Amino acid sequence: MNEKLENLKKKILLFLLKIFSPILGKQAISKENRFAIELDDEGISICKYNQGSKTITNLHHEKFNLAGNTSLFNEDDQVYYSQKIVHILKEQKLLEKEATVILPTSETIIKTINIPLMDQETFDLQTSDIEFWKTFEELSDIIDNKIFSFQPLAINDETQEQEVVICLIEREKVEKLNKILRQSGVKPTIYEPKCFSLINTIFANQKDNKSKEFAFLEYGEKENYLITVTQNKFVFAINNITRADIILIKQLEKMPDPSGPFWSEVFERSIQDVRGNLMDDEWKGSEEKTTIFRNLYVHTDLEQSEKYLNGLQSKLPDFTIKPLTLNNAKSDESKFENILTNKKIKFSKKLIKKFNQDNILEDKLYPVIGASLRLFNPFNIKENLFLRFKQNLYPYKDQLTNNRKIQATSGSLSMVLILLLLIFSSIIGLNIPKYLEKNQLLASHPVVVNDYNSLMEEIKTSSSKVKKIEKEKELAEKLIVKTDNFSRIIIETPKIVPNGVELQKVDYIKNDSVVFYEGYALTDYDLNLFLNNIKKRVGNPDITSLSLAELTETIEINNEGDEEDQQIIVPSEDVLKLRNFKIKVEL
Amino acid sequence: MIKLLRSKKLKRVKRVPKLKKFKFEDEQKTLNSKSNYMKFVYIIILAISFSVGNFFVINPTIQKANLIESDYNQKKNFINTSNELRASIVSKNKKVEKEFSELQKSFFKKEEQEKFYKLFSELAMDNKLKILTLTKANEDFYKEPKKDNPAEFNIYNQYTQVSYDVEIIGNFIDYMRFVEDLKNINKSMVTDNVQINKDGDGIIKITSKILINFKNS
Repeated sequence: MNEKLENLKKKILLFLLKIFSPILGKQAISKENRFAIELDDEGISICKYNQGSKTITNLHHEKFNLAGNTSLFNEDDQVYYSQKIVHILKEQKLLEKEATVILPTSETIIKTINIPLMDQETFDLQTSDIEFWKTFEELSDIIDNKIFSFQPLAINDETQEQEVVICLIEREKVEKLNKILRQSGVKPTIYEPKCFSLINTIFANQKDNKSKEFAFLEYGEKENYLITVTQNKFVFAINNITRADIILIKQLEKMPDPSGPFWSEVFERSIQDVRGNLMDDEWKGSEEKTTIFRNLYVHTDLEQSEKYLNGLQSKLPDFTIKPLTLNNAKSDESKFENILTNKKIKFSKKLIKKFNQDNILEDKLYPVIGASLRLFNPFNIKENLFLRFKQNLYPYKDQLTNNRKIQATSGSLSMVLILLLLIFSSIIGLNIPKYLEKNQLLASHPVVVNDYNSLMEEIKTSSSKVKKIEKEKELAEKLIVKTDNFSRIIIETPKIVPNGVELQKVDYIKNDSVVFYEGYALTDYDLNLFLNNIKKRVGNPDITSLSLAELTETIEINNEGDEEDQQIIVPSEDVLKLRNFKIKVEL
Repeated sequence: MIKLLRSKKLKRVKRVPKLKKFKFEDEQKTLNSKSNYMKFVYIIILAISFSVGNFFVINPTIQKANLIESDYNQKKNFINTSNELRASIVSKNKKVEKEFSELQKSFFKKEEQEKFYKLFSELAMDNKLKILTLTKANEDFYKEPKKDNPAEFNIYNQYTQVSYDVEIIGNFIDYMRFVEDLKNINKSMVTDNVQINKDGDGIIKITSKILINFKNS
């Protein structure tokens, strides 16, 4: 169960790593601040390439000039070497920086083997086990006590095999060198055989980032080998040149005319071990079975070698021999391989100024330039510069790869954590005042609603109370009749009755709003006067009944303002004729 | 011996210079991913906390508040400006109550009918009139025909209308003063029908029907 869980965890991690590798890889690369160093008993070469600005900022070679027969690996001398190195690095401001260390090709074993084709997971699992490599005949006897590095190349679908380039070096040598460098303030993380540094320079100098077919010949006093590189193949072959022939090659440069059968034989002898590699079938075109014209890059530790190269060219007419050079004067691309002409790799202004002063850079700095282009690249992501070979003989590269991956992941996670914290804090921070305000609103809303409802209830009650009282008031007003017609009539009546009129009856009917006056008028004039007064002060009079009546007795008529009764004495012989009337008055 | 001493004097002590020690991390140390797992967990916790906080607490609260905000503001503004309205209602209430109270004074209370008799008889006596009869003819609650159906009535039990048949004798001037006095006491009293007949010797007989609105308590 635990095993299954572990497998699941690994698969998830691998999946996540695959997804995030480009990002994490970029971050890991961006933190690499490294330089290349080539160290031997006589001197030190240093080069620093700034990946960000794509500029070589440091390019330096210095001889130690130590007196006597000193050796880097001699423990007594190591302190002096370390002191020298520390001093130089301090000057170059490269102390305690990471470094790519160039190892002499002659001290490494470089082989190409074919392994069965397998999926990536199996490949990773198998190749991590040293026993797997011991199963190969070419390696079984030499792999013990060695530091081991490999790089898979092309896959051959027909044979179902994969070509792998393998490098080996004595563990003790590297560990010793590592110790010296660490005590000298250098932090080595890549150990690269010199041949790969040189070949990588050729790849980096190519205009298109494609793997081209070419051959590389290193000759001189220290190292002699030939490397052929094709799309699918890498072949490393030692070129055994005798000491005598090396002396002859050196001598050759001093000769006025190195032609003739003797020198021709020397030229031929100098490449006799590797000529077969140059004529390999692989090197012939697939359509036409003739040797394809290719570049043969050459590099040497000899100070002068022009005449030898001319002689070599005559022996290899199908090839264009291009010496690797750092000489400004040799910028013809068809004849020379000069990194100074490369537009992708720039040199700092300070270095250019120095080149112009010295006019010539030592060609022996070529490998250190190539090595400076290397990156540790723990996630193995695509790099800006095309460097085809990435061998690393650093004894603790697996631990360092693991640690770098963890550090890069940790850095990225920290960054993401901080970024998220900032983003989330900002969002929350921006929203919090609004949230608090709205929350307050939500909390106080029921109170406001309650207050509102109470207020509305109060207003409603008050209004209804007012309405009720108004209604009551209206009712009361209805019941209180302001225009009391009756009292008006009673008060007005004495004022409207003229002297010649006597009222017998006053009849007031409220519901009909009428009043009836009944009585006698002495003359028509009096009646008319009475009617006129009614009209003026009471209402519209209407005589409903009028008749003449004879009066034989005394009639008393009351008149306003005259308390005294007026008596009309009717003579007995004359009968008084009065107007008997009934007047209806509309109020 | 001298040779030995010389050789000893000449021998130089080779001093090994001190080298500065550089502090590099241990190459063989292998880091583990525990802290990375922890950071990953922190990121997950942070993301979840943020999501919960922002999408389940803050945003819903804001949205919910936005929905009720206009209602809240409307109610709040109403409450803030309600003092004037409340004051106006109170003052109107007071005014109406006062007016109504004044109006109420115009009514005799139903349970104090004797006050009417007393007042009526006193006024008659003051004006040298003689009340021959004062008979209660009818008593009922005040009612009004309904607007939509005049055959039916709205009955107002706050008031009782009592009609009296009254016969008075006296002279006209006294009666006139009596009527004026009745008017001045300003009570809800309506004279419905009046018949004034001359009775001789300046005496008149007044036969009237009066309607008194009593207030029921």
